[in-house]
Amino acid sequence: MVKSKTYIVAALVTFVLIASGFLFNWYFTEMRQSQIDQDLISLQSSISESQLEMLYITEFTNATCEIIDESRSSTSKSLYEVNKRLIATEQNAINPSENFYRLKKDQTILYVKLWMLTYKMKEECNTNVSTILYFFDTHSSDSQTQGHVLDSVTKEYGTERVLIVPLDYELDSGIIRILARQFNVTKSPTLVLNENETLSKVVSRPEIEEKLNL
Amino acid sequence: MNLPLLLIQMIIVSITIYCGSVILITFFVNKDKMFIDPKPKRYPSVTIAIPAYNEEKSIRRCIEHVLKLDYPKKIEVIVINDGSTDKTEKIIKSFGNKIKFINRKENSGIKSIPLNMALKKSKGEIFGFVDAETFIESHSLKKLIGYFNDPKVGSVLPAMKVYNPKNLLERIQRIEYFMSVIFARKIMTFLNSLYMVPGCGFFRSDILKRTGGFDENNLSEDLEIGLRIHNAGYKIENSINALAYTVVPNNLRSLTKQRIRWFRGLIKNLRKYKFLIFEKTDFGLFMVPVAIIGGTISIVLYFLLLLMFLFDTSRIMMNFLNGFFMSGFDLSLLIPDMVIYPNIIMFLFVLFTFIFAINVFLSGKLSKENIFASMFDILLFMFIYTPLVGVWWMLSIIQEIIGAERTW
Repeated sequence: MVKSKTYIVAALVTFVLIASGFLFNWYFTEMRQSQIDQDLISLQSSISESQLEMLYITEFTNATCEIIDESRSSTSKSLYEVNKRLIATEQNAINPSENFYRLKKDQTILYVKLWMLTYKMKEECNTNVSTILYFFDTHSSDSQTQGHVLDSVTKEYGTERVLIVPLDYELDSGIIRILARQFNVTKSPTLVLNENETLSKVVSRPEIEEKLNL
Repeated sequence: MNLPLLLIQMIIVSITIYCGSVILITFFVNKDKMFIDPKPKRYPSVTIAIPAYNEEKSIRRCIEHVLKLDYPKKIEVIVINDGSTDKTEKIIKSFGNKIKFINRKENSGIKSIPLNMALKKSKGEIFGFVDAETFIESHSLKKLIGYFNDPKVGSVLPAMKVYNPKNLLERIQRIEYFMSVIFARKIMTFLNSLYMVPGCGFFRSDILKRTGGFDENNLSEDLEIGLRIHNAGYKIENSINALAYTVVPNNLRSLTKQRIRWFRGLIKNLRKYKFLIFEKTDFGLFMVPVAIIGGTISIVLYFLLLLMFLFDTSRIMMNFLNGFFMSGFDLSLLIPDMVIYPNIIMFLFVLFTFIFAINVFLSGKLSKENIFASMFDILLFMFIYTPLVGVWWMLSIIQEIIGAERTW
């Protein structure tokens, strides 16, 4: 006699377990995205505040830049951590959602704001910080290699000494297009070092150190 | 996430979970019957045949164990020397008139021929055979004979264990035997789906004689006879309490040769009995598809691992190594990010491991093996031996396609 009941129950168990797998993945992706969202909101206000402070200093006083630099350093570090989490979220999501791309755009905007603040501080306060605009695309092997090299630079010098601004070349973002045009970026990976030198190739750490005088 | 790879993984895991669920449900529904063998209503006469070809190392032990079998009636023991060139003949003759001796001058190259010679001479109502490298425990025949109370039972097998596993390969096969030979076979009997009689088995002589004995054109006669019994409408039973021990290949070359012979035998016999597939029995609806899909899964799994390594892992590794080189060998890059991001692959892996662990636990319990002392072997079985099955399947299919000669 065929044990139909056994086969039906087994099929149900299989369906429930596989569905739980998808639910599990969805839950953790959503949870991570929601945390990133919260972090970005708090970073947004922190950067806005620093920008306002910068404006205040340049317009009204000769006060010390140290306070703003502290805030800039800490924001830079937090954004770096958020970026790492965003990368991991993208790698672990089955199909990144619209919400994910919104977060990525928000993060890019914050990074560009931070870069502008840093640029201003270099001019107004002579802050000793180097900047790298890093144009990449997530599917290119060269970009992944460059990513490891830049990771190594960050681990060595810290986000307060070298600000690396990740700009996903494939992301539909107006500011990325403007920056790409301004610095003649046509392919990825491309590094723009201290706003004056564009290198469209995989650049080694010793070369970066030499060009940035690290 | 690599979606095509995820899809293949989903298919494999779904099939594994489904088969695992069928096995576990069957186990829990029948757990009280697992160790209970039916009491024999009577003790039928028994003939045991032992075919031997160049078995000087094991034949004495095999015959001695058969002669020591605890059974109320005298057992007819027929030993067939199949053209051995070593001391096998001399050892067999040393048992004198305790056994019946058939001496073939030339090796037949196939076990069915000496078995059929013994079958023709046999007088027992039950005909059993024991391979020369196998030996049966004294209580085993008494334990398994009760299954023949049921007239629909055509054959009964003892549980098979690995004898004295010494090297790593033998120890891993011990895990395989207690998981797939003891546990899985017992479960298969509840689904009336046991379809092979390897190493040692007992049959109703009249069924064997009526259906033409063992197939003399088949290197996997143990499989063919199982399928034939099914086809004739009889069941194959298995007693967990009846024990037999066998010697397993001690090197990869012999093991590969053995497994290719088994898998090619399975392919050949399933082709011969293809009409059994999808017939409305547990055997046709579950066991045969599982055997076919199981083989396919092994191949897919093997190719999947290969593909992952070639196209995914190797690319990631190369990019990392390039980055490592271009960062001036920055050792800090070797320290992994300790944050764990739970995802579906992890979930499926944990699920897979969990099902495997339940299987190991129940198999260990059923075969009275200490699984905690064998953890290392179990891990090797899971991660190294299982992909090897895929390689064997692949080689078997290639040999079948190109029509390579079948050898023992």
